Amino acid sequence: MKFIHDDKTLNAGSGENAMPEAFLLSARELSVQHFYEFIKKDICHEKVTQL
Amino acid sequence: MNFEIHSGSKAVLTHLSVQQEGQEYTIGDPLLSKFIRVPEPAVLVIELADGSRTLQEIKELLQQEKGIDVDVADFVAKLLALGLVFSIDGRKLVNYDTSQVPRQESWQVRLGRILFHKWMSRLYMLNVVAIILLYAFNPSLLPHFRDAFLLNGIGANALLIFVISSIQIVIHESGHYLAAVSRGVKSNIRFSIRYVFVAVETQMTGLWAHPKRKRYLPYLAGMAWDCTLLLICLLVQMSAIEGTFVYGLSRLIALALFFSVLSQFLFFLRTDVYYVVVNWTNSANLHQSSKTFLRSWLPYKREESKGQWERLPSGEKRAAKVFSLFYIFGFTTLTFMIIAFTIPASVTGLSMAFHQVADFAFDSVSFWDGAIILLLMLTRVTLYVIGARNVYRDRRIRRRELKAAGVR
Repeated sequence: MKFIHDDKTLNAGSGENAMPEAFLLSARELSVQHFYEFIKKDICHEKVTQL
Repeated sequence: MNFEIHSGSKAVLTHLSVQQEGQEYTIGDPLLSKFIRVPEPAVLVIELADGSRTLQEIKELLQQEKGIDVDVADFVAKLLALGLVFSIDGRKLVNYDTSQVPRQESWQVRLGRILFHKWMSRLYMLNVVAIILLYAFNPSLLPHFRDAFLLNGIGANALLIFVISSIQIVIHESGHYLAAVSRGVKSNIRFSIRYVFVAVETQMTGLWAHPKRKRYLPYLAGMAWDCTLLLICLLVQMSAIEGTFVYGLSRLIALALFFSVLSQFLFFLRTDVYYVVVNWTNSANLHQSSKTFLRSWLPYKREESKGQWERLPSGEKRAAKVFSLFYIFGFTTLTFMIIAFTIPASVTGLSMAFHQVADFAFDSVSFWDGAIILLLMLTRVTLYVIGARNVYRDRRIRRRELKAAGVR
């Protein structure tokens, strides 16, 4: 498919761009791992050792 | 079904939606959620292809009235390969599965219309302003990493965060879903992946059939609801007594929401903000175009990528060049963070959890604390596999369709 229609074709885009992308609106979870470095040296370390 | 398209064929294309995106147009079938970008002459063909004229007559008409010489038969043949032709010579070709099309009288559509009425969108904007003002005048409301640890025990905390994050994700995606179906767009929610992360996504591709300005609210609907819930949490914090469970829980939920809203600005991961940028720049596939641009500099598939890049419209190229900078910077940073923090933290966490399960008695708190971590890890891996399968299936279908249409 060619965008430029000087060769008389009418199709826009190029490669995978020819088809507009799917709208996939996403969300991802908050993981406790993001805070893990703090866990080791902060409050939760105390809480775990208390257990 | 094989059809020979010739200049004497009469095609019906008037069922296709047409939306202007800068210098180009997005045309497609909203019921199939299938769209393609075309230049203006293609739109003129669609308007004339109502089944009353042959393709040759349309070609001649365009030549006489607009001075445009285009290969109409080639265009229709490619639309046929993509399943975008309604009928040829009176023979209907499309076969719709209408089970997912939102019915006007359904409760989802009615609820969506109320919750995403134009007055409600103003209220959502006021919520954002209120949050900024509350944080500015009372910085103690700002979330802190300690808020994530409401309960004693890592396992119990991880489980609580997992449950709260899952509920928050369902609410976020429901916002997108209701905003989309209230506009008659076929929509569904499913698991997916973004880079190495498990994600939940709402499919609302049918929005391409709607005017550009009307797409913003469905894109921002999830964040609008996140902000509304965040405001409620802040108000609860202000009225609850510090140190109580309600206070701690509201801080934890606020942290999850704050994190969720900020994460949406990592737009190189194709988040909600990314789609706002795509809409604003009139791009068809900003992510793919940026990859094409970057590949054209690499030895791998360089010539193919260069050719594809050259054929892109100038506006798309401009946006893709800027986006590719964010793409490189974002992915480099994220990869570094994953290697430096996430992987070691996961390995240490898993090792600790494994030892807790192996070393402690079945009826001890430590055993169950470790068991929860292992169970959550297993759940994430399972969801990742489901998400990866959906992404792989999408890519396969897309490539098959593009190949059938002869896309280079």
